[in-house]
Amino acid sequence: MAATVIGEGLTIEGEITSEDEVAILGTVRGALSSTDIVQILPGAVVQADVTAAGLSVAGQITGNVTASDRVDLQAGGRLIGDVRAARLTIADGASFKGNVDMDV
Amino acid sequence: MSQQSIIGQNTVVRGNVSGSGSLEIQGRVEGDVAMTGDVFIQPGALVRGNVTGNQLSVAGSVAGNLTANEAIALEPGAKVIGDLVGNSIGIADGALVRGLVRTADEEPLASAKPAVVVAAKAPATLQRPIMGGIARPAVAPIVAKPAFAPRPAPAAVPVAVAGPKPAPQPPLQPQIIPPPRAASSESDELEDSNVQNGDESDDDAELASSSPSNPAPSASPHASATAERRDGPPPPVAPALKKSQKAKKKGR
Repeated sequence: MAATVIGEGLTIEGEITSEDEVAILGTVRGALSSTDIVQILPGAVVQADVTAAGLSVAGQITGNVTASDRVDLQAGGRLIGDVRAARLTIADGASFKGNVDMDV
Repeated sequence: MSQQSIIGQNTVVRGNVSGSGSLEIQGRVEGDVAMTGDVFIQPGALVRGNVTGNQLSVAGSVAGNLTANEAIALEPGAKVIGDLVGNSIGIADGALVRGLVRTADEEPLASAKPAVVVAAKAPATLQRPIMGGIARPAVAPIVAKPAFAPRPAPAAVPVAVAGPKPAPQPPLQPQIIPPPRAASSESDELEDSNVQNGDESDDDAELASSSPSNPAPSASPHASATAERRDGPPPPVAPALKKSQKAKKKGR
């Protein structure tokens, strides 16, 4: 499991900065950035701009997303916001609204 | 696992953290942490903000108040600058605390009577904060009345002071009786003595309240006595001044 886990039932209002893997099952409002992988797991609600090396989304994100490596939008995942990443995958069953910029 | 949250070693949270379930902090949190479950602050962790939880286990550093519904445990190496409030508090050898520590049951926090037990057990230095947290409402009116009443009209001093006195202040008597000098200076001293004794006598009153017969009978005779004694001085004072002034005038 990731070094940092924001469990379900946990709410963070503010800024999360990490150099480790971060897994979100709860609620984050503000900003979220990691130099490692960020996982937005099913049930998570993120209303924040997210910056990470890699991002997988199975929960819900409202905000712009930036990844130096890749963004994976998984089935059941929901992303409203712009994506800026070298690679982007969108699984069948995911919902996504926003612009994509893969020109990083 | 789903209920367990971890803020990892290399993670910084700036803002408030709240929720249910338990939280383990290994990194840094700059903001308040309010959990309904348990909070573990691990070695190397730093929290700048108040921490609230059911049970708190601290082995890291906290700059802020710790409040637990049940227990607080400070492990060796823990560093807390702030107050600790919880039903049961354990501080291990090697833990550092700078702040008020208060252990209490639910009831003492709510009602005044069990607070007597706390006040009795607590060392002198702890009493003031305890009173502040628990029994202020009781203290405030007693202190406030004498402070406000005598000021405008010194003549009213005996009445005003005698009013609030009866209930809580048997121990005041020895200190009040001695200074029957000039009326004006006396009123100031009385105010001071009332204010100073406000805390002590209140403690006494609460302590005495465990034996309920004390306050009413013992206080009322004292009050009447002081009222009489203080009625005494003022009349002589006025004529004495007049006479001396007249004498001076006549002399001139």
